Amino acid sequence: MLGRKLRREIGRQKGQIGAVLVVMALGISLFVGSYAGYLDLDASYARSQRELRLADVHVDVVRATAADVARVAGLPGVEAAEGRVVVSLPLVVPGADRADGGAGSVKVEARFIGLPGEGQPDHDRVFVQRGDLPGADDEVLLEFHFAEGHRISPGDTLEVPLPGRTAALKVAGIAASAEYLWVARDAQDFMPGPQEFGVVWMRRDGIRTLAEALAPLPPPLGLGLALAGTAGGSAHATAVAAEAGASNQVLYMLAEGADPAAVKAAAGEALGEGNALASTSRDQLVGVRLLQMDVDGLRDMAGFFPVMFLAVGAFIVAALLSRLVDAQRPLIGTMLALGVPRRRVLGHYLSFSLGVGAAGSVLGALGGIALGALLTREYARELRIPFVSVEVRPGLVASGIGIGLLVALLAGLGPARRAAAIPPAEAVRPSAPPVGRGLTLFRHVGAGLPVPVRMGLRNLVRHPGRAAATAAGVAASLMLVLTTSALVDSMDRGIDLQFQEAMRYDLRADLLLPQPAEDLGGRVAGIPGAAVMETVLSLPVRLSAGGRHQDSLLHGVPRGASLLRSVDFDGVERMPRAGGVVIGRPVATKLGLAVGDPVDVSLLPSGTPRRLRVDAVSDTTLGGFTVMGLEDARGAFGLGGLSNTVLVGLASPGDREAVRAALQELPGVLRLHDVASVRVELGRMMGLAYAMVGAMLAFSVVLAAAILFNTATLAILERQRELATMRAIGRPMGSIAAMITFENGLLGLLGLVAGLPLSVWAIREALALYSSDLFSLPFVLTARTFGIAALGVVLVLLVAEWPGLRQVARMNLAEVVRSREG
Amino acid sequence: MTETDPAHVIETRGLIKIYRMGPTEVRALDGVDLDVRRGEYLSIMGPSGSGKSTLMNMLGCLDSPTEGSYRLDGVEVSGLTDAELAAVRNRKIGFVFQTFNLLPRYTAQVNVELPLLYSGASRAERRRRAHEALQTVGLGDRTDHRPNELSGGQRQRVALARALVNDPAILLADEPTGNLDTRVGQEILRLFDELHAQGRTVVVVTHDPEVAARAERVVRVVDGRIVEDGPGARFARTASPAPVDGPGAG
Repeated sequence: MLGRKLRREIGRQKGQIGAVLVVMALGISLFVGSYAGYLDLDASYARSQRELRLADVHVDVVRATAADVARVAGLPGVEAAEGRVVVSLPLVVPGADRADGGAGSVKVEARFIGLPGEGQPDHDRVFVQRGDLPGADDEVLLEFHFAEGHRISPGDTLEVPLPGRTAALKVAGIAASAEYLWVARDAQDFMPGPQEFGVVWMRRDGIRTLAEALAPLPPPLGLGLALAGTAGGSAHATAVAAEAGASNQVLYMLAEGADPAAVKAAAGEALGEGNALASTSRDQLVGVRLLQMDVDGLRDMAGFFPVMFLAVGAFIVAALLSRLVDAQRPLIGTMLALGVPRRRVLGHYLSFSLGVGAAGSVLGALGGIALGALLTREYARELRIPFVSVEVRPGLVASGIGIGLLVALLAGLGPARRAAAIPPAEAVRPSAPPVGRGLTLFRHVGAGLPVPVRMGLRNLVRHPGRAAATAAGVAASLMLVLTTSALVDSMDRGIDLQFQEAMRYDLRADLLLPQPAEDLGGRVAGIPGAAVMETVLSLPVRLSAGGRHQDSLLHGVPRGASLLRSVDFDGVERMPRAGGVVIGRPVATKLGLAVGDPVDVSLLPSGTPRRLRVDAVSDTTLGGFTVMGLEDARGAFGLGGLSNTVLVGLASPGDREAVRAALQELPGVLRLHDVASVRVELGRMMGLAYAMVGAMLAFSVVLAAAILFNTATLAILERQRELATMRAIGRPMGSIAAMITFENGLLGLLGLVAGLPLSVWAIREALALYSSDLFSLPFVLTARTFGIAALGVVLVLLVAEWPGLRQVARMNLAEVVRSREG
Repeated sequence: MTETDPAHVIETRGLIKIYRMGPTEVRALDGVDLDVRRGEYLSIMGPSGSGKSTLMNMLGCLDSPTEGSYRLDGVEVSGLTDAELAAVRNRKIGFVFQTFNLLPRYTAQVNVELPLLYSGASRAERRRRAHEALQTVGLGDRTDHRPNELSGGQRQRVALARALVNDPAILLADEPTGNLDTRVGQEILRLFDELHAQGRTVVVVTHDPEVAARAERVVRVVDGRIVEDGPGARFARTASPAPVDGPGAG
């Protein structure tokens, strides 16, 4: 009998049961899907790294001979070691289609990585996706992002400009590598577009031939090693590449159980004093780190969103079941009076919540399996992950269903126990209106308020738990919407600061070697369309303090510069005084530096340290830069009168192509950096961010709608008779709708008020989560964003109460007013 | 109907109500013509399923007829919108339900104030008139009590005060003594007698011949038609105690 009535009640509350199913299913789907995606991708990355033998440690060295490498290979704890050459050279892609819509040849910085004469290297192997490994010294293998960005296919030809001639290189194939699944040039430039940067593999001998042709370039003013491996110039690397059998990078694999720190120290020693520049473990490679941060985001999502959805689901189940118990009170009393055991009543109501939980969980688990597979497939396609592992994990699916059932059980326990504890004699009487401290207090406080306001307030006070949960749901929805929107605002502001305030040039040319600034100025001034020109120094440096070190890119910027400025998150320009530097917040944190502290700055790879002073710690979007006055930097590092970067502001956008072409032709240009291309890349990135915000928005709308729909319809179902009486004695439907809207509006308002500080907290947490020594964002929360988010939540609220109001409007007044209470 | 008699507060002509239950049509009212004079005390009686409750729903504007005309206090209500019907119920009809239908969380005073609230009376006027109505039903000293603090008879008096507070054209009571014991029921009926004596129009729907007999006029409904219409006293003499339908049925 209870069962039949329960089925009938379920039939009457189809909408709410549907809402709870959707919410539970989404929660479990997100849990299973995100976690499966995380596990699959993590496994895929690990498998790709294993299959392609990505080295455990990459050591950048000044110069390593075959004997040095053999010494490292022979160290205890080292399973295998290998030397290789990595050198940046200018590469011309003829007739390229550029992402910024331009066409014509493009000069990019290509990172040439040496391959053995035959076959694959022992470490850091490549996964050839199209074509073959280079079959001759003048053939190259291109990393697929670069090839795709320029629509290059095997068989095409690229060029390396050499003094007096160009070397034609034939594309043998397109490949992926575990190191460059995420293509980063370095920690300062971790998202270069294919118009600027690409990775190219070539036989070691082929690279030697190119380097030999470039090596005669005289290192100016005895710079020698000073600019090795830099973004702007790679004279030293070129010199090493020109030497047969020499390497500038040593890779090694650790033996099982080896102590990485001990091996690192031993390898440093084996390579000779001052030879090892930086030792990077596999998980600290820039691309690997970024990829890991990305995939960890999925894991965090697997924790955060499902908790929210399941909490809302639990709330709805509890509220629904409470209402059912109230509605069936007389029947429960009768059954108990007839001798039905209490545990059966308990089991009966628990079976309802478990049933809803089971249905939601199974649907969610199925959705989760599909979602996980979709995520992994899309990632694998986008990143060209060579070895993809997709598994259906029965344990994970069972956990998802188990969590759903547990949540449903916990949610149902309270109302079910209440039902089982009803004294039979009391149950057959209608339940008395609740009297609590809140209501008693309300009677005193609310006595002076107008009746419609009191009615609205009273309905909140009489179910304080439900009101609080609904307000919490609204607050959570607002937090979701606001956090994601504020992240976009922060990204916009961070990008604006970077490109409108800090990097105000249109084109930048990085030179292979520093050149006299006056000569450069004269050449660029003659280019029609180049309205403003400034020359600066971009130097790779190591900052040291208190025994700790951090590598950074130092910009030597002229005072009063207009094209490259050091601008903080608050929009204020921070320039150091003579003998001082401005450092980024991540560097300051890592080295424990504050304003006024001394810091030693040395040019990489092995320059003499200069003692300088920290004049300011700056919060900037790209956090790895160090800024110094240009003349100060020239003086400190013995580069008097030299610059290695030219910045150009265009007279008009129409001059871009002509100025680009002219800059490319300047002697000694390694690469050209076009802000328009960067903006295109950023636009693509922002598109993804907007898509993410859209998805978050959809989630929050579903959450807010489910919780508000539930509250509004329950409030109506419980008061059907009351509302029908109001209508019978002449209260217009509009007035009832206004009353319910007022109640929901109050809940919404409570939620918005609670949600604002919660959102501020969440935004700060999210920004902290996204911040690293590579990248950070300013805190931005505009009134407009808050207004739109709040309006969205209010609109959802209005839509959510609509079904309930329709129910009131369609109520059979005659039937309801004549029904018995209870 | 084009002509109306100003002496009539209720005029129905050819009132038909058809309910569709799947393929079956149920003719709950089958051409009811009924006139009720101002100040008249009328009882509507009938066995279970006779259509008396449907007729009460039509007269109370809680439901709309399928066909026919219904003029209440000179206003044709059969074609009114939902909002217009709400206004008619508020201003022209005072309801008394078998189950009282008081709002349990509000005092007697607020319950009686509600119709005035919906008709837009000022706060001071609402308080004054609600208090007067409660005094009329003998509950001037119970204004701050909530329904669960009142006896069944007192609850029904509050409902009566609520029905009267807007000075309606008709007082429509549906089994007003159905939930009360005999003694309390008699007290309520005495109140109805008093209201009638003051010139109120009272329409009571009941299955109880004793209750019906207190009216000056009784109509009997069978199979959706009025089959008998006569003075209450005469009806009391001829009424048979059976059949008796349950509260709320009919």
